[in-house]
Amino acid sequence: MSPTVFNKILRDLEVTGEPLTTYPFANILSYQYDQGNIRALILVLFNYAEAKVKSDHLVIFLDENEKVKYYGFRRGTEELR
Amino acid sequence: MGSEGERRSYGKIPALMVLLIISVCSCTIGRVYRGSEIKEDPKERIVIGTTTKGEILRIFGPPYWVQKQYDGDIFVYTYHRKNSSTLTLEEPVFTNITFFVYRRIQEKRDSLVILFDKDGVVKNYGYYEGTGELEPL
Repeated sequence: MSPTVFNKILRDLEVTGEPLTTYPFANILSYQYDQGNIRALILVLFNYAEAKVKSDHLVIFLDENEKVKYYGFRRGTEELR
Repeated sequence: MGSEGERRSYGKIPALMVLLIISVCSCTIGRVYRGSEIKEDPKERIVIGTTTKGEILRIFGPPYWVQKQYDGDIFVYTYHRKNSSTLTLEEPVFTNITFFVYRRIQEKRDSLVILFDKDGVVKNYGYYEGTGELEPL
């Protein structure tokens, strides 16, 4: 597949447009790894493209003494396998 | 003069027919899945006035968005799906002209919004499963 066609598919699917999750707060730390899989069947007359974007995400909430209060973790990239 | 003009315009018709004959009609189907599904049923897992912020993080993981308010935080979880279908009629060889494009895009989200009080206990929540409304094509 030519890079032009591939870029057109990416643009059409709008998979790369979304920013990373951010929390604009001093007492929340966020670590995120994004991974995307794109499967495409290009037959000129009929084309099928499927994109999945998943994240491994760790979020940590700190208390007023800057110690861990809560945390949450999701390994979303496992869903791509 | 008039007949010459007519002849000229008639001469364009075969060229237009050739372009239409070699034009390609293509169909593209796209599917985008962004984020993780909300797998746990909020009705079963969240008890208003009892479930804490720590428990919510353990059950549902990190939220997509956090909003801080005067009287407590808000956690937002979303799972986004987009289905698109495109039908294109174009002549890609000589003129690269696109004659016709029909595009249909459906975007739906599953959203869970959880409101906490100042002590970090669930005050209320809302859940909407929008991805079930997506049509197959």
